[in-house]
Amino acid sequence: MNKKNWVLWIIGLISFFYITIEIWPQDNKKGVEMFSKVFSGENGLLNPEWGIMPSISSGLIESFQIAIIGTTFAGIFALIFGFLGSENISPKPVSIFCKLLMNAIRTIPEILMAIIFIVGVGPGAFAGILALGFHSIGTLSKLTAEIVESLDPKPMEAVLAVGGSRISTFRYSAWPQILPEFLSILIYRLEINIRAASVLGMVGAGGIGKTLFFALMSRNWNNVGAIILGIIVVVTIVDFFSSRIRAKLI
Amino acid sequence: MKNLLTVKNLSKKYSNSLKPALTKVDFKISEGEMVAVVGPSGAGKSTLLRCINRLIEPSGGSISFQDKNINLIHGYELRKYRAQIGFIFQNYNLQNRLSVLDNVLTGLLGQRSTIATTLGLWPKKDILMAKNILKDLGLEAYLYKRADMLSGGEQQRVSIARARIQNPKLILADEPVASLDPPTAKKVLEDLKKVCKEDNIAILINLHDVDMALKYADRILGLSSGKKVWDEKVEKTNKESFEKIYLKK
Amino acid sequence: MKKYLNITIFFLIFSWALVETEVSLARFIKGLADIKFFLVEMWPPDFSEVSAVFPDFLISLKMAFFATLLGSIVAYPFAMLSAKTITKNIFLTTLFRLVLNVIRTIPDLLLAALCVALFGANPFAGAIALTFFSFGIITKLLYESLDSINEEPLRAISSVGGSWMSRIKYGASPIILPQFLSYCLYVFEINIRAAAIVGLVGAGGIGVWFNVNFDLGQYSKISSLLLVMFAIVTIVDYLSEKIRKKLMKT
Repeated sequence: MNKKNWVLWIIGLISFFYITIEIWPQDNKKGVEMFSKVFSGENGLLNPEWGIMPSISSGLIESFQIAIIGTTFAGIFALIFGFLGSENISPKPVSIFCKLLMNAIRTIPEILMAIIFIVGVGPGAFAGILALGFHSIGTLSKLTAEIVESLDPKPMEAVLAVGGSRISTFRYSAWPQILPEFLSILIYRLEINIRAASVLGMVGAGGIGKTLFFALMSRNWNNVGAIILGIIVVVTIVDFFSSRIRAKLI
Repeated sequence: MKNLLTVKNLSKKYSNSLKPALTKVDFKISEGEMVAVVGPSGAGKSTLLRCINRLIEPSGGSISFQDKNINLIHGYELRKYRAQIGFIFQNYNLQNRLSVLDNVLTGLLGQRSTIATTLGLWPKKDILMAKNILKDLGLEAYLYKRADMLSGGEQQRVSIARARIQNPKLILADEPVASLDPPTAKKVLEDLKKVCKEDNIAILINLHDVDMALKYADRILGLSSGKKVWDEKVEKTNKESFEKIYLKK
Repeated sequence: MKKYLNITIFFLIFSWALVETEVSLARFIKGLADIKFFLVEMWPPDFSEVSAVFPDFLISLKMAFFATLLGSIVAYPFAMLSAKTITKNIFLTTLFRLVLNVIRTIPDLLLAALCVALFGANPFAGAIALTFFSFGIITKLLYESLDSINEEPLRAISSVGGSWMSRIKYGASPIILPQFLSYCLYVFEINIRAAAIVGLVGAGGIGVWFNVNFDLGQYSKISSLLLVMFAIVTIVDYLSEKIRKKLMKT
């Protein structure tokens, strides 16, 4: 067993070095130059332009709104598709079809969806919401189906034993098991989506992304630094509340 | 004592096993009687209990409850039948995330309107009844606690409360104390005995501890490899009788 | 009653966001017509240039491999330093967890865009961005697992005078290795998808083709790309799940 491990490791390391050499940028000197220019000094990333904070806050708030609405919509549909896609509640062909459909949706990157929706409803926050929402339905449905599939049937037997109907069994046994876990993955998804929302704006889907894009293109590193800082603050706040709420759910 | 349950020729064969789980089991239970089912593992004790309230469908034989045959009832009638029978599971099967009070209330799900209960609307008198039963069992301190925060013995006693609120004629208990330590097991069995005698509820209980069976039951039913091998009042049963039950092939 | 308060707060935030981002069903339905045109253009998929894409797809794979390997190697010690069961110094664990959080807060596409601005539009930028991304995920997963291992074997080593390194090498590593490899595989899976996405901002690999075809209006080629990606991702998902199940059994 050990010898096999060594061989695998050596193969891994060799491939690693080979790849590194292959993708290392040709013009290395330029890289180092860029590095110092970007990071250090007065015009660098690490010296954020505090002055623009007020003007970027509206963009940051919009990103937050996009994330909340997108995630909520995704949650509603994910509940439906999650049930449809679960092997224990849904008939086999329906569940398999649902799972494949959700996998297909997950494959399309949010950015591409954003671009498509911009074509449809025009640039702005709405496109971002649709993009985030649709993409999240994919992952959330899969996770919801997994929650439903891991339901403990034994407490459900107890409700049947007292003469409860199927609806009561669902309402008093299945639902209390599903809801906390579902909310937990939903809120975790919010954490991911707030990050995605900040970035989707770069293609025009609303939020802080557009401002960030301009700053990057014009190589205005001070502004870039300030914007990144703003994003970090918003994301940290969301993460903080998210972990508090999720801890209470369990 | 009036006859409550009549089981005739009960048989059950699972489709995925060669040997039948139950073969032509015959017995009767009277109102307010506590009958202990004993026998080696795999003797069919769990299957027997679950056939009575049709959580498992029998392959053959007949079951009559209060002189009415219940083999073919289904839907609303079946639910009404089950509402008269309480079930105590070995793993308690409480709704872990719900409070103790809510768990006891779920015992009434077979007797209240589905619409009202789905909305979470319980009549005040039901809530009062649940609280009183819990008080009677000494569990009122845990009313609003999450069910899975209680110890094993306490959870099992909550499940007795859940059975009790049904106002059942019969309680089926499937190895209720198998996973509990001896002092806790004693408390649970005493609560069951109390419920049996004070409220005249028949109890059919699976036990693997023969001493407990001798101590609490009125009658002993012995099962081995799916067949009934013993059916006598507890006074007529002793340690030697158990050897016969457990050694029979 | 606290539950109702929380639900009300959520509804308020949600409605405020809904109004501000001008979400409207009418716009969506109007937009569907445009999107439909788009989707019609995408079908049937045009596989003619798919073979040209393969070298870039290989690059995406290499990026994913590079990032997973490098990310995981750095993640291992970092996770050890962040795990409360391994490193008994609360100051150190808090510090490392904080640094980890800051790194994880930056959205990965943002990191990719930054790397492109720094290193140019080439796979190297993408690989570096993905490395940070992988590092973030693996470290967090790993230290969370480490926090919940049985401490007895570790205490045994300490009590005979073993150093911190020994606790890791002889105590924690044997226990945590299958989990660690499982996480690496999981992140590799994610990286394959992510490698394609960072290409959309120019960081090399198959994603660049999305951009090119989009600009050229060759939508049917995009759908073929998506289908190929979907197939590959599904296969990788399936294989990786099987290998992970086997790992967990050891």
